[in-house]
Amino acid sequence: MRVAAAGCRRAVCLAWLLLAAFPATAGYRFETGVYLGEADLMADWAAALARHRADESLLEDCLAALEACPAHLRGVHALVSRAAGLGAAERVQLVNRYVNRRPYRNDRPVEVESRVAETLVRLSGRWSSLTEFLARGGDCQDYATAKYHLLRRLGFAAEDLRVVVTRERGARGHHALLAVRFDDGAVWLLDSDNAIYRDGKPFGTRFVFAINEQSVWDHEPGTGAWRSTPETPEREEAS
Amino acid sequence: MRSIMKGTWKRTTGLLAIALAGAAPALADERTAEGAVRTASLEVRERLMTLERIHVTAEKPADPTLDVPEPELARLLDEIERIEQSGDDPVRE
Repeated sequence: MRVAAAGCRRAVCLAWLLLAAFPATAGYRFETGVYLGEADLMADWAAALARHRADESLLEDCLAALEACPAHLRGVHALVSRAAGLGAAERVQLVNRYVNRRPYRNDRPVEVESRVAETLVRLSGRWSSLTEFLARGGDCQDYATAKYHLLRRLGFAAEDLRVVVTRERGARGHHALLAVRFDDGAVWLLDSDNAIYRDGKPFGTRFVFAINEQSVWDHEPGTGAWRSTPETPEREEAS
Repeated sequence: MRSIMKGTWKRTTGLLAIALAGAAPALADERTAEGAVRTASLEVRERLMTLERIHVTAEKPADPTLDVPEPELARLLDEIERIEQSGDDPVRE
């Protein structure tokens, strides 16, 4: 009887440990974000999207003929032509590796007219368009954005892609990954270190917000957690 | 006469009190709902302001040992890199 009770206690402890560990490793869910509004409310992100759209004709010309490509876009021509014969998972793997080969570069501060603050705001970093990133590299948010645009080009719907901003336990700054949802509902998170989290996430990471060309979603609504996010970006200096 | 007046006054104030008591919760509900909407939109605005100021910058350099691609994908990646550097696509020729 005593053995049975001890075994039961052990089973309860194990179940508790598993439950406690689950939130630390549970992957990204497209259904869980709280809709905050349209993407253009985030002025800097909207400006990067506008620059990307302005580059569309350049990209089209480059995809049609390699000779029309500036040096930094030749790879896009080759990638799109090679990816045509691949399945969805292989396309995602190819894009993740291709983008992660680009050099990391720290952002410079930028001033943007904030739509929500209705004033000029100084930001520590800026979002880059695909061509800007391919020409000169960028930081983690630019890696995720470049993957976003390339996968859009390779046939993924905007509804199935989100740049997800995260914060890791003990980290000094925020990080960005790309979330990709497949037809069967599986969600992969693509990281700049080449890791792909299949229905999981880096240990100790929490999702802060997500964005795509359509909308912004909050992943910490009403928790008060955002109140601990520094108001001034200077406190969030590069790691 | 005075007693009749007194009775009417009592009835009137009584009825008025009942009417007010009935209306008050409705008025309060309306004010709460309005306030909640205003508060929500302010909170969203505030939240968006916070989010757009977040400096997303963590550096995680590419690690070739992570999620190693299948040989066929690795071959394609090398091919893409060669085309990128040379500006020449052998498949097209």
